Amino acid sequence: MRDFRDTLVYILAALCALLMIAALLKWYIVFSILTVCAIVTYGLLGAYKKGQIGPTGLTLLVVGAVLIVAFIALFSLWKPGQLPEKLILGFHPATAILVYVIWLFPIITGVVYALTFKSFTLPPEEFEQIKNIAKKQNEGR
Amino acid sequence: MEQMPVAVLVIVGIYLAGMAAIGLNAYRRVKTAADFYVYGKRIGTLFLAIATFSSIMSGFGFVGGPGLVYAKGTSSLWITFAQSLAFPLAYIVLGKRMRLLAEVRDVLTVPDAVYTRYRCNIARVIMAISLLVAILAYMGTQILSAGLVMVSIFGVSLPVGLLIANGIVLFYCTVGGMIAGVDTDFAQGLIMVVASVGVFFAALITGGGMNNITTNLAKINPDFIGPFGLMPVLTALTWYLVFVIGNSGQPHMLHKFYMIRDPNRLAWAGLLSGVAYMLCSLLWMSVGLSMRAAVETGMAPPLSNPDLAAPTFLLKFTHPVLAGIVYGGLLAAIMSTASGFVNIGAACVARDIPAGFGITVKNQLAAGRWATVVIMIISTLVAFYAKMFVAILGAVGWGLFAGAIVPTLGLGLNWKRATREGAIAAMVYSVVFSVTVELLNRFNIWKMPHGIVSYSFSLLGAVVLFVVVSLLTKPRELETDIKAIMEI
Repeated sequence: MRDFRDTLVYILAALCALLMIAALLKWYIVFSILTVCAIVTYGLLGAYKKGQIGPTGLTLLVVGAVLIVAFIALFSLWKPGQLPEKLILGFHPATAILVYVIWLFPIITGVVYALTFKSFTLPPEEFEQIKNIAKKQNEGR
Repeated sequence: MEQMPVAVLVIVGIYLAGMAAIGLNAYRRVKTAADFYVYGKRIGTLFLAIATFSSIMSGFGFVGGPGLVYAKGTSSLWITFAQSLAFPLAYIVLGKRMRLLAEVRDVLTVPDAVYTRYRCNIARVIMAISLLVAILAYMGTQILSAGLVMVSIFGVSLPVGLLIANGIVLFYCTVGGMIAGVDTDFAQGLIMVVASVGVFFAALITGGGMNNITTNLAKINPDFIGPFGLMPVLTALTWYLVFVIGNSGQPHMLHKFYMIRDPNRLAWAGLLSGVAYMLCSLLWMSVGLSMRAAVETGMAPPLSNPDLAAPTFLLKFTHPVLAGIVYGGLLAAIMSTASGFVNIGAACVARDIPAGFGITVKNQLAAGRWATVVIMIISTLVAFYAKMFVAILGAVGWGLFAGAIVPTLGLGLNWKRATREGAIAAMVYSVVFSVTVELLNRFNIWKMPHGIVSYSFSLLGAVVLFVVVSLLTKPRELETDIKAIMEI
C-alpha cells in the first residue's frame, strides 16, 4: 500500500525539477514559491507519522503559507534602483520583510517542535518500543 | 599592520590556554572508541544545541560574511537568515531517526548510518570517501584562516601562527576526541554569542542607529540596502534554498545527534541552536553595514579588502575588551568547525573505510588518535601546497555534503522505497557535478547562468536522481528495527 510519504517524496522530486527550470528561466517569484513548497514538503516528510502530520507539520504548513505571502510582498515592494519612500523599523520595506518575516518568523517551528516532542514526535511508550526491539536484537546476537 | 591592544592579546591568550585545558581535562575521560567519536552518547540539551550551532558557524560568519555585506550589501544575509528555519528542519527530518539508530545499532558515524539503512558497503565507502575529500579541503580553509588570525593578532609569521592555533586543535582533538571537541564547541559557542550581541550594539551605536545606517547606505546605491543587495537575485534565492535544506546534510551536525544521552533531549536543542545562530547573524549583518556606512560618511578610510571589515571595525570602533572577546569568538568559530571535521575525518579513516572493505580495526581508540594526527598533517600540507584543491572543494563543500547526504539520509530514513542504487547515484552525482562545475568556473570555461549557485543544482539534481533511480530499482526488505524507526 502506498504511504503518504511516497506521495511527499514524489512531490519533492517534482518540485526539485521545477526549481531548476524556474531558476534557468529567471522566474524569481515562481522560484521563491517553489523553494518554500520544497522546504515544507521536506519538513513534512520528517514530521509525518502514523497517518498524521502532527502539530509540527501543521506549523510547517503555516510557516510555508506566511513565507509565500512574504515573498510575494517582498517582490511587490522591491523596486530596483529606487530610493525607498520610507523605512520600516530601520530597513527598506522589502528588506524589512526579509529581516522581520523570512528570518525571524520560521523559528516558531522550533518552538512547536520542542513543545510537542513528548506528546507527538517521540512519546515515551514509542521510545520504550524501540528500546525493546534493541534489547531483543542484542539478546539474539 | 595595526598594533593590537594589550587587552586583545590577553583575552585571546586566555582563550587559547582555556581550550588546551579543556582538551587535557577531556583526555582523562576518554576510555573507549564511543567516548572518542560520540562523547560516549551522554551529552545533554544545551551541549547538543550549542555544539551543533558552533560547528556550523565557521570563521566565515565572523570575517567573510561581514566582508560580503560590506562589499555587496544585503545579498549574503540570505545565507545566515536561512538558519532560523534550517536548524528546526534538520531536527524534524533527521534528529529523532539518527538518534534512534544509535539506540539500536553500533552507529557512530554518518557512513555507519548509510550502511545501516542500505546494508551496502559500497554506499558506506563512497560516503566516507566523499566526506574525507571535502573535509580535507574544508580543513585547509579553516587551518589557513586560523593561522592568518594568529598573524593579525600576535604579529607572528604564518608558520608560527599555524603552529599555535592548529597545534592546540590537534592537541585537544587527539587526546580528547569528541569529548574535547564538544566541550570546546560549547565554550566556543557561548563566546561567539556574547561577542556577536556585543558587536551588534556597538555597530548600531557607531552608525547612529539602523535608520541612519540605511539612509547613508541608500545614498551610494539604493540596491545596496534592498532585499537582494548588489548580487544577482538568484544568487540570494539559491543560497536560501541550499542553506535551509542543506543544513540537514552537514555531517558535523548530524554526527552530534548520536551523542545525546536521551532522545527526549532533542526537543529543545533545535530551537536553541537556531536562536544561538540567529544571535550570531546579528554580527554578520550589522558590522558589514555599519563599517560601510562609516566609510561612506568619512568616519573611516575605504578598506583595501572587504574581509578587513570586521577586524577594522573592532579595532576602530569597539572597546579593546569587546574586541578581544570577538577575536576569541572568531578563533572559536574556526576551531570548532575544524575540530568537528577532524573528528569525522578520523572516523572515516580509522573506522568507515576499513569497515567498508571488511577490515575490523581492533583498537579503534588508538586508531582514531593516529588518524586525527594524519588528517591534521595532510590538511596542513593541502592548505599550503594544493591551494586550487582547497579553493575548489572549499567553495562547494557545503553543497557537496548537502547533495550527498540530504537524499541518502534525509529522504532515505523517511522513505521505505529508497534503494542503495538511488543512494549511490545521488552521492556520485553530487561529487561529480559539484567539482566539474567549479572546475569549469575556475578555468573560465563555463559557469552557471544568472548567478545561480552551482551547488543548488547539485542538491536539486541529487534529490531527483535519488528518487528516479530508487523507483527504477528493486527495494530490499528493511530489517525490523530500521523499519520501526522509520515508522515512529
